[in-house]
Amino acid sequence: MSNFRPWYRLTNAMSTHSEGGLIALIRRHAAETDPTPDCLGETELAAVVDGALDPAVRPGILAHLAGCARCRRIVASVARAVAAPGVAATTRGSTPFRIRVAWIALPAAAAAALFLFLRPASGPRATLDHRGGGDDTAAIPLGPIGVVSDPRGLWWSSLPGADRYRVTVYNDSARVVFLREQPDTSLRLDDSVRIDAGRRYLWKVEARLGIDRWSASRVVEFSPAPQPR
Amino acid sequence: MEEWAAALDRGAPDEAWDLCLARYRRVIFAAIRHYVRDDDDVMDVFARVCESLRADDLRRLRTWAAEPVHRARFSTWLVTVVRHLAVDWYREQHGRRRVSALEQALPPLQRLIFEQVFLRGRSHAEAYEIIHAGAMPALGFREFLVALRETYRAAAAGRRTHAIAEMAPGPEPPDADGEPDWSVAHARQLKDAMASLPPEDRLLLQFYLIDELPARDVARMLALPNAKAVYNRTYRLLADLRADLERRGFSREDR
Repeated sequence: MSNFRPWYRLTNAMSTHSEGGLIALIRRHAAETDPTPDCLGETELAAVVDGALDPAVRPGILAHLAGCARCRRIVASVARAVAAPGVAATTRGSTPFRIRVAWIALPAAAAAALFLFLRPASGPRATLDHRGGGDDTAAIPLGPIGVVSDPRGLWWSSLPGADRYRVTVYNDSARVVFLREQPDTSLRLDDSVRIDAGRRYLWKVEARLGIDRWSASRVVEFSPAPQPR
Repeated sequence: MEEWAAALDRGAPDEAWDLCLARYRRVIFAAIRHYVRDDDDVMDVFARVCESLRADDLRRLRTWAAEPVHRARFSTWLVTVVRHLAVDWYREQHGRRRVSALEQALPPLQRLIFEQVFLRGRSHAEAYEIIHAGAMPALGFREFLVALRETYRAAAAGRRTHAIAEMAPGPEPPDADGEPDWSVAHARQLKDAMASLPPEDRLLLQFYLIDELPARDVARMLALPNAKAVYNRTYRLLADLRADLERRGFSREDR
């Protein structure tokens, strides 16, 4: 004997005084459909979120969305993100005039602000113990970290199973200033790589564990100590 | 034309990058913080985003700038890119560890569900079929739904809430308490009824009822005049759906 009563449940849901039952059924069982192969790109997804689809392509894009849970989920997620107070506050437009006046000063100021935002907190968070300590799935950057007198020697822990390492160094404009792959766990930046005293840099090391499989370390910060006069 | 796009147009990619970052740095960080809560993770995802946007001589930015007409806002596009990269980053972080701390704390069924739904991105129905066919042949669908909801709760309880939740292919399932046992076949009947609706009507129900987006956002995305149009159309569609389900029928069970 079954306690399965879908008809009973459905007739309850069909009550003209309550939509709740049918809505609950739809939520439970109609949330997912099989993905389709022609998923939408980021530009198209953004256009859906902004309600700004080209009328010529709109029917096709909506038809795809209706049959693709993956794309639909992305649209819903981005729509929520764009509407979230923290994000919405940053996307309220500034006037073109302000941009034209400020663009020269902004990069330098923004770069400084970027690093204030980016830098690890002082104290324990800047130490090796916090930065990936105990993680056996990534190499650990060992130095340079923090303010250092020798910013050109980079070294890191080896990772079992890794046959190559890829080191990336960024300046305070988030621009890559150095990139190298090698089998060893240390290297020295030569003089062609510009490292300025007082500027902040970030670096990370990725370990290759298989064909096209790389495991990345945390990003750590360093800054060359000012030179004594 | 945006200043950074103009710089790109005149062959100054470094200047273009500086301008773009100066103008949209706050948007990028706000979007990252929407998905990623841990401060260390924010930093790592930011590095990933910058790498991606700068890769191949600013290929992504060039592709955007080359569009003849920009319909979406650049900031919305950036948020879409950030979401994509944040979820990818989290999948890699979880995928490379044998068992994360979150998974270790889960009972066996929930651990299987977490792997299938969150790490492998399978739909709920797919995950049930795989677990039922493999490790737990006696698993009932209702039991699966209860465990599925508990898994979502466990994923939401962690520090890395938002990004882990984004890894699942569908929204959290509603509470199964008090609900009768549903077979997968009957779920399929409801899906078939939904599939018979025109795409825009299906999307309206999906965005408004399932994803629970605000009516004004649904109106904007589906080019409806206002939120009231969304409400009215939803009620009409539900009435049509009820009629369709009656025609398809669910089998009566005899006691």
